[in-house]
Amino acid sequence: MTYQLYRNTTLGNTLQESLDELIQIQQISPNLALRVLLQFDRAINQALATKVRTKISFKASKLNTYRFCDNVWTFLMSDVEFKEVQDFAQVDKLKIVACDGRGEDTRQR
Amino acid sequence: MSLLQKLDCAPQFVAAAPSLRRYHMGTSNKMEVSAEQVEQAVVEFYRDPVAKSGLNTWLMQAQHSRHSWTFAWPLLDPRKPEEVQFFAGNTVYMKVSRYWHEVPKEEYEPLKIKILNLIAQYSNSKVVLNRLVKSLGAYVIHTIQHDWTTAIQDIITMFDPGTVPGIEPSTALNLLFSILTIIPEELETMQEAMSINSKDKQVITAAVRNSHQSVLSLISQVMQAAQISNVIKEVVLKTLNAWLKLSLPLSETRDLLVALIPYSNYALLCEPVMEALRTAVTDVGTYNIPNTVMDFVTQMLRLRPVLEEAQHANDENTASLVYSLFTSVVECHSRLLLQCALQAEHQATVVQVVALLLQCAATPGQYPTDETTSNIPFAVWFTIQDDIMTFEGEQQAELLQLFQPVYLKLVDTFIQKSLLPPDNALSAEEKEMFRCYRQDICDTYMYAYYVLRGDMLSHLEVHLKDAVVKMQSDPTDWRYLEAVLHAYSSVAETVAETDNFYVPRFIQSIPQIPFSDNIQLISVALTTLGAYADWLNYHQDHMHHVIPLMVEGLVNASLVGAASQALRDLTLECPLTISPFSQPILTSCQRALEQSRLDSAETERIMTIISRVLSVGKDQPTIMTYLNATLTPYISRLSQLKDLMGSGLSREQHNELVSLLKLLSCMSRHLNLNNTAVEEDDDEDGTTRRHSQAVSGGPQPLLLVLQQLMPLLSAIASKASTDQEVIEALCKLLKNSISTLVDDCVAILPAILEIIPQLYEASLNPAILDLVKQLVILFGREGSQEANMGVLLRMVTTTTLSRASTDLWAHTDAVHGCLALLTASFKKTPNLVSAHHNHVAPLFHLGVEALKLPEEGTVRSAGHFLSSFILLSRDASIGCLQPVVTHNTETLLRTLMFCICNSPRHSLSSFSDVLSALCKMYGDDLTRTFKTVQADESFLSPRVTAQHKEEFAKKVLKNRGSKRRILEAVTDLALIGRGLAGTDYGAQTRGFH
Repeated sequence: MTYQLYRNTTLGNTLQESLDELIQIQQISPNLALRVLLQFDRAINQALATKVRTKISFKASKLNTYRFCDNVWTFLMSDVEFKEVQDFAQVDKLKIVACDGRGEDTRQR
Repeated sequence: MSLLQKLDCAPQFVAAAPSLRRYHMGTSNKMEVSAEQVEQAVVEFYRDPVAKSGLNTWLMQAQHSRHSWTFAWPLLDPRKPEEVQFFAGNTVYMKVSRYWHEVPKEEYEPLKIKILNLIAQYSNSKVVLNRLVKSLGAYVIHTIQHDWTTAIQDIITMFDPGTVPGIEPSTALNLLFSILTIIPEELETMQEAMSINSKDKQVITAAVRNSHQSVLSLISQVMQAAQISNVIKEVVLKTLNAWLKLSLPLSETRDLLVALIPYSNYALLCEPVMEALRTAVTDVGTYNIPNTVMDFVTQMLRLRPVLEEAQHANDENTASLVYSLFTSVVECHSRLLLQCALQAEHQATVVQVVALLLQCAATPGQYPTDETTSNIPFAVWFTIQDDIMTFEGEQQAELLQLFQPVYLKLVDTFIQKSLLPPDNALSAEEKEMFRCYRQDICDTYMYAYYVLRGDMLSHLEVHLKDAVVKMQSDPTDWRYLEAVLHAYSSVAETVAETDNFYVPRFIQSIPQIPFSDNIQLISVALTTLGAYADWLNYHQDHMHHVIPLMVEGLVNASLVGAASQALRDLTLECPLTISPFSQPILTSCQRALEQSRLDSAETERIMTIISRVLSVGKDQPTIMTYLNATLTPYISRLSQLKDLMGSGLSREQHNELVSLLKLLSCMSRHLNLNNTAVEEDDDEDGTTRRHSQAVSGGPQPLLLVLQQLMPLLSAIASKASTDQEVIEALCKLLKNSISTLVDDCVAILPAILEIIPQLYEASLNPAILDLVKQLVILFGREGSQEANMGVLLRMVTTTTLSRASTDLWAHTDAVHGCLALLTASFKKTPNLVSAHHNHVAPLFHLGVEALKLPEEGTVRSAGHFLSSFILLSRDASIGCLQPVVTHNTETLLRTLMFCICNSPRHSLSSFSDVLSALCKMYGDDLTRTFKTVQADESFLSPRVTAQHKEEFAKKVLKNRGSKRRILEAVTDLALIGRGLAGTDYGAQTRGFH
């Protein structure tokens, strides 16, 4: 399944801004922009599923909210420490949106 | 009248003139584009690199013009240069696919004949032929619904080998299948390229799909024909795959697909056969026909001889294709397979499929140098485990029992496959691939644990014993032991803290392991033990097995990294249980700091360990004695560097200064005697206030350290007031200190209040604003400090207004920080903001101007600020805000509407929030203001008309209670302002924000 949630990332937002701009200056049609966006969805889903092997663990002092709706998990945490091998990063607030990486159309439920 | 004649009468093409005179199309009059001109332009395009850009523009314009229907045909002449023929072919494809609406209905047939004749003419010229075949594909898609309903059958008849005059039968066959492949492929792209909507696409797809039986029958005949070459059969299989993607029913394709299995023995045909099988068995439609799928999967097991033959011949490619196919089957149908595994008649099939994938995982040799297939089924082990857990009761128990030997075998396999290769055996790139491979193994151990639980730990224990025996007999044979420790480490966070049998035995065995001073092995052991920190917190009695290895590691330069990491994990997870071991830990930390040449990360980790250990169960004199001994050299060095700052620090000295500040920052975060005994009380206002007084009653040791340190920090601040790195490290140190000391930091507050203006007036660094925010929230409502906080806030706002307002773009992060600070202040300490009346209006203007900035964070911050401002402005006790909003409603509304139509769309929710607040608190004013804005016709024109503005105002005012509906109205206006309303792209990106 190709999720659209990566559109709301820096990369996705920037792409959409650029597409908006190209449409307005009539360099591309809205149909082509949509095609680019769908290709972005496909590419980023595939790349994140197959190319990324970095493992980061984290521990939060507090899990403020969690919910599971439409097969999407959402967690809101505070005072979180990320650990990647020997590196640490501290953040005050963290929101995690997690979808089933295998998607619905690749498996029978 | 012919098609060409008709098109000649079409409106004449006018194009913007490129710079090239010869191809000038006229700036003031209409003129024709002749085939000769196009031919010359194409030839020149390929010959003249200088003129390329201008010619490209001209040729593209020519291609899109109605003239291209005229000039394309004469250029499709084999006597013309090849590039000219290609350009013409491409033009025909583009016109047929995208400009179909320009073709009159009565010209459909002549156009078809023209394309078909050209295909026959160009049957031996691959490049141009491809364009013409695509043109025919596009033609079929436009006409199959109403005008050429028998297109597929007609094409099969037309290109029947042996009946096409002048074309070799093999060429005709190739041509026929190329056309049959292109048609479903063109269907995929038609929605975007041909402007066909999704409803029509479904109808057209159904029309094409209706002809599938004749295509399948043809494919079957050709595949069975012995005299036809494998080269042609490869093309035929590609056609089959293209048609299978149309979701053909497996019940109708199954026999043909099973008959194809023997062809996978031929190298050329293996990949297309596998691809066709995969497309068919993983199609969404197969979910509704479980019996057919299981029957098909059973038939697919006939691929095993192909696999065996490939393995025998060291043909990794074929083996990979077969394994990938079965991996896809399990990933797609795992739940069905598990259901069938519970049925006697299908169990054997499932077991065989899983065994095949186990065999794949165990492919002999070193990954990735000897083999690259064992990684293929990684995802399968998660999928099976995950789906087993969705079964309940007896069914789950039965499945767990069935899969227990599978996962145990998998653990054995992974231990072998994760053995580290000899040093220098892998290149840097291969090492990275192997690291990823081991990471996947690490994840899969975790999934195996969910299936096996104690059985897995028992199994690992057997491996551990074997590995220790091997190591004892041959200390150079340490890689097996390392792989077993890696497996233990992988499940560390998964094992239940209640495990009282296997984990204790593992922990107890650590001191018995003959490490033989093997650094790599000890590092892995340390990392593994660190990973069990959470378990150790619940099993204090086992702590003494692990501490010695860690403290010894600290004083070994090669092990200090892993040891400090493990001990840090332990001190963070087990603050109380580690307390009895504080002495050896502190001694080793001290020695490590004295002896080793540590990097800054290691030093920071050791400082964290020291701070955490000192925070529990020590009296103040002991702590201070230890801190004095530990910190004195660092503070002395900091002082030296401060003295050197006057004459300028070298890069190295500068980095050292920053590292020292970060080190102190670590201490200030973790040295907290109340860390494990934080009390929370409600004060009289009902708000929660943390008390930081040490449990013993005396001041926190951190406060005593900071009281001595503040003069030095003040001096550094005064000398480095424009050094961003130093400012950020200093602010972090102060922020951590305030978080730890809470109210107790009043003692050092005067010094902090002296440092902050000094820094902020010299440099608008957002880290300073963050620090101010923390202070204002903590002390803004406290009687004794309220005035100080008011002064601090005024200093920050005055400085930001005077320095940033003149050039917001250059200070966007300071504006962001300042508005965030003010928003927090509105919520927690509104008394402070309203106390300075003369600042309120300029700050409101700053918020309005900040809405126009491009950075999402700054716009969000401005939105929060303005919303809070507006919502608070009706509060009678803060009278100074309301006139500001009333006087500026029109400016704000115009800015919001302008930004909705022009700013990046991810900020729409911020604009909507401000509008909601305005609507809620100033509904009547807003109604009047909307009318004024609507009356200004030039505002937001030409895309946004007066009617659009009126509709927007209606929607906003009507839905003043609903933030969601106001956001919808804002989104509608944003799409109108960008010319995207009514487009699929606009609809698809509505949720942008």
